[in-house]
Amino acid sequence: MATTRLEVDGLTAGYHGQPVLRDLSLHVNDGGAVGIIGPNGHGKTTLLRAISSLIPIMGGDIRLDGASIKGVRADRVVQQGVVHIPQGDLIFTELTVLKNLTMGAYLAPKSEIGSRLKGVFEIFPRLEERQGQMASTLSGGERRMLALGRGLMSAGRIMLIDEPSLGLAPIVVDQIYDVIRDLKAEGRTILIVEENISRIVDFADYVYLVDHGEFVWEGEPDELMRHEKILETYLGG
Amino acid sequence: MTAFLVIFESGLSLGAMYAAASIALSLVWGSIGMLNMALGAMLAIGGYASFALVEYLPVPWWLGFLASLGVGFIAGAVLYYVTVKWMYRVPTFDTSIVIATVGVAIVIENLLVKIFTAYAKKQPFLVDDGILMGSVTMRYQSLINLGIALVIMLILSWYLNRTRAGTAILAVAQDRDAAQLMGVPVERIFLLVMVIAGVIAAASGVLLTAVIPMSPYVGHEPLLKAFIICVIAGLGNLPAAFVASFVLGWFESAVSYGAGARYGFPAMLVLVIIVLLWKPYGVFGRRRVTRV
Repeated sequence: MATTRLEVDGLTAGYHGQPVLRDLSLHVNDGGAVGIIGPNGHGKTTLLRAISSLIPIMGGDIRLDGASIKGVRADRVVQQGVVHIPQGDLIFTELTVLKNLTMGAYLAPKSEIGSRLKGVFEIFPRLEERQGQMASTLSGGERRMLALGRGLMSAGRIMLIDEPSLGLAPIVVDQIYDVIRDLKAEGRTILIVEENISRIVDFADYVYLVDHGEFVWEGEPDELMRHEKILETYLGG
Repeated sequence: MTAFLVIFESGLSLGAMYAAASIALSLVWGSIGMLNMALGAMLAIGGYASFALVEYLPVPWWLGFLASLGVGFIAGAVLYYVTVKWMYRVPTFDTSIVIATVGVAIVIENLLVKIFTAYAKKQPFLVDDGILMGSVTMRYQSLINLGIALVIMLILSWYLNRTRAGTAILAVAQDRDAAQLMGVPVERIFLLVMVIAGVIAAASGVLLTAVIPMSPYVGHEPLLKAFIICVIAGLGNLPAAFVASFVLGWFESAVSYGAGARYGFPAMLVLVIIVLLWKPYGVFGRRRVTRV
């Protein structure tokens, strides 16, 4: 039986005292790939921000390998193995590509940085070519590669990936998803937020549909594709 | 030629005096987004610490200078624990911290009055001589101030660009959330920035009071001028703040020489207005986006 890596239990969270998420529960098994889908602005990103402790939790609990991380400072959540690749990348535009990547390994021993960099450069050779460039000079696709590469530098226990296809050309999205699929094949545990449903059904083992801060449906991707009403109502067909 | 040399010497001296203070102000603004109105009081703390040790213990001037850096370190840490630690999450941090640091400055200055009185003191180690350049003397003290300001700038640049903690400071300055997602403990970085700024402010205070008389309020004018320098350079841009200190030092000297000393400071204010109309984020500044 698969062990549960991440468990969100009755989570309520939001901004400035106003809840955006209400009573959400989900779990991600070790080595599993879970997708969160739903319309724009309905709480998908907020969910990942709550798991990473970037916003305070108003109710419920979040457990990593059975231990609660509720109220734990964001940097300590990272210390415990949560890698969050945020929407819009949040790369450090005024640092070089290399420094962005080494920031990803901020908590790692210095002796491991070289080997981790080598691993990232094998996956994204483009980043090796551009390592001396300021991150602000990268294209949208390269920025997304940098954000993913920076996440890989931290070698965490679970990866939270927020809308990796957002704003990218289809060919670049294909490249990004090839990498994410490889990560899954390596046995990494992934919780991914995506608006582009076709990407998720190809990739995730289990899907949650969020609407107005609540899960309105959950199940396997194949099942979702058979629910025409749900697809039409929430995802525009 | 004499006029040029007078302006050059005087501007260099002013620039050297203000450079360290401008760097301290710019560092804190760039990293924490905080206008530190207690900087002037921290300069005074540095000056008085050195003065007290050299005058009353007594210790050699260089030991007094080094000890004042230690006092600046503690002052920076105390300022962090009294204000930043409790306030940085507040949505109105930008404005609240200005009021809080004004309050801290008032407390510090009154404590200094209580301990040392409000009468002006003189730092006991002014170097009087200088190099004769034509009819103008370039004072050794100005050169020492310039050298120390340059060393501070170089060490800080090295620290920010070559060390892991320094890169973390730059990362926090650019995006606090993203830095936290890398595992950077933001509070510890803020503390680090405050103690670095405290040390630089103390050094600046000693340099300043080696040239001008020292009172508990000695930091008011340098704070204001450092603010003008940082606004013109672009808040948070350290190398630009360093260079702008000298450019504005020469500008003030030129105006003072040509039109009279009382016009130097108003001319700087006019220059700020012109620069802000032309470039609202300073000559080398970039637009700062605040995520809410």
